[in-house]
Amino acid sequence: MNKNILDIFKNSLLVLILSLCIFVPITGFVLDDYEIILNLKPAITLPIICFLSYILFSFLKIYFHKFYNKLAHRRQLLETENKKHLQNSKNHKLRNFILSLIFILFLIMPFVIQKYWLTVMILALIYVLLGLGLNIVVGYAGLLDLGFVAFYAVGAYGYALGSQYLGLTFWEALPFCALLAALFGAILGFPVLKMHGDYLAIVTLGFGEIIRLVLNNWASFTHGPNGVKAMRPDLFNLEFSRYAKHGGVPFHEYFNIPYSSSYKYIFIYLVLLAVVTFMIFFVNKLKNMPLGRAWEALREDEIAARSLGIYHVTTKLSAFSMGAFFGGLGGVFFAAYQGFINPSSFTFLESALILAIVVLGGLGSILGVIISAFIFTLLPEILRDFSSYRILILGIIMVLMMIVRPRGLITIKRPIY
Amino acid sequence: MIDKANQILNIQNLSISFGGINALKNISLNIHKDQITCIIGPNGAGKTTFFNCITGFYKATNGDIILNKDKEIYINHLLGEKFYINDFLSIKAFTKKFYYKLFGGSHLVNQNGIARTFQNIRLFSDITVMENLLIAQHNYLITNIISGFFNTKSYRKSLEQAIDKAHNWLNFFNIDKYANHLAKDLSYGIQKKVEIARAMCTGPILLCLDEPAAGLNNKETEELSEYLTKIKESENISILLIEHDMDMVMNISDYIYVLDNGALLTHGKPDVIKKDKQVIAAYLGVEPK
Repeated sequence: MNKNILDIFKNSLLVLILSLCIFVPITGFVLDDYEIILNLKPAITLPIICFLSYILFSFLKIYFHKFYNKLAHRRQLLETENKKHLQNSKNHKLRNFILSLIFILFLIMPFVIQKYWLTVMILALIYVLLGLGLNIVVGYAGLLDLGFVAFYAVGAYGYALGSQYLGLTFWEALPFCALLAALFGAILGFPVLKMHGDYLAIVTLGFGEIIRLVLNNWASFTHGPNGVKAMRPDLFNLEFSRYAKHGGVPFHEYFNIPYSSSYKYIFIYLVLLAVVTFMIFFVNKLKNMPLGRAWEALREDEIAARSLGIYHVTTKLSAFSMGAFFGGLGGVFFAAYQGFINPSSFTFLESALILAIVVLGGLGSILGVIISAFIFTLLPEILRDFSSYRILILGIIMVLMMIVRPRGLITIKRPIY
Repeated sequence: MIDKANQILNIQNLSISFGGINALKNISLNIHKDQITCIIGPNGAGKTTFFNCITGFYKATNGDIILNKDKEIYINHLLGEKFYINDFLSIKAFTKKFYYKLFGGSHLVNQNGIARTFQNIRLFSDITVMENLLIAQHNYLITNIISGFFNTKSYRKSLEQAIDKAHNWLNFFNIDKYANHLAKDLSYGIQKKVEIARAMCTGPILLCLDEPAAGLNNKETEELSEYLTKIKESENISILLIEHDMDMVMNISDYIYVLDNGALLTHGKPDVIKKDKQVIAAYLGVEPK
């Protein structure tokens, strides 16, 4: 240890001398008109910075080495026990406590934070929903879907157009649009049954674009690029606008409180939170159900799955529809929260973002998908002050993530039987 | 025909061609109940193609494959056949064909009691051994997501039964301690055992094994032979085997069929086949005269 420190000091002195040799001639002599002025201030401070930083980094290196060794050791221990990939069933109590704490935190959040951050949180929760949906298709069933935004669009337009043509309310639209999107998922599933990997990705990409183009160009039905107004959601005929617009009573008048535009967002947030919580619970169970296992079997080896009596067609279609179901739900909330939708919200970039959420979170991992959905929606908002560097920082974070954890934030754990 | 009661599989005039190549030519053979039947032949003889026909991965161009369960099941019907004009005359035949056209396939062959393994192991490698075996019991479990979500009594019961069955088969092969290991972490020999255990979990009446001894050492091969005879005797399951390891073949098989160049060369009991000149010629070649 002492020898190490001595070495560091020796080397740092060498660094000091070398940097003096370099910086004194370069920055020490300044040509001013016709004479040379000796400017020693930068010529000495820069070498001192080099000197100090050398010492600092050498020490950091030693400590990091120790830390890293410890980590590696622990990992090795875990691997020799060969239980790394299994679910830890011991800490159930602690886990449940933490989960309920987080849920309560989310529950009181809308009453505390500003309206702007509330809308950001709504968006984040919508992306959690979308991420969970795509996670079923890509993570469990292993079907690379680049057109997931199509189902999002079906959900959103299903609500907006459904309320316009069929008079659907928000509550009716939720199951209706989710099922409609699931139907579209099955429709997409049929032509791609025999495809894998890259080919599948291209076809789904095309499907996503077809939906967007139809929405854009079928102007007589969808109002084209002008978009559609989505009806404001209501709760038992209580409306969240200042004045009642479709025959209900305004929320604030009913409860005799002053009007605030954030009531609508609080309402959407709470409903969305309930839906997301339920869906997380549902997917978590689904993972260990026979259907979830059949999806995984299909991902691992389709031929083997068929040889074991699993019908690949219905299993694949069910994965597509289940994923699309989530997308449709997300779409309804998106339309309700925005109040207005048009096809430009459903571009390929959106699909790519959802896919990035799933991949970054760790394919098949529910917690990972949730965390990365929050990262992807909150980070751009937090970085809004550095708006010109936003994408750069996001990109750097993604690259770093992929280096540090190439299999996603959280690797999935297998259940024990 | 000979008495059908003792036969589990009748194959009549089976032919298959890929483009212009006739991979199998007019093969007719019978596989007896509760016996180990071996199919041998040099590389490229069409053994695996024959297997794929039986297990429904290839559609035969011609001929019938009949599985004798309680009633006769035509494997080729399960895979969905072409429509002919007379099909449109009878509604019953039409709906049946249409149903199999829509929902037919190799999974139905498995559901009717033919399980198989593959020449190169096809385990689901990123999941645990136990999950592999549970996937094999998919059709015995309650797959309804609603009862799964509410964890109903019948769902739990079916899952427990499946887990018990899986543990039984793992214990049978002495690999129960690997139940919660990832399949890809296991050694080759154990993976082979897991694959057979997985096939057995589907509850077959005919087990088709494609070169189970390939890549195993002598001791492991002996062990495998013991397991196979044990399966045959204790479970009343017929086994159909493709194998190159002649010691093992001669040891355990009750009857041998020899394929060469897509045609049936000869068949008989092991000691007959051992001395057959045609077989030796097909395997080793003949001296030019």
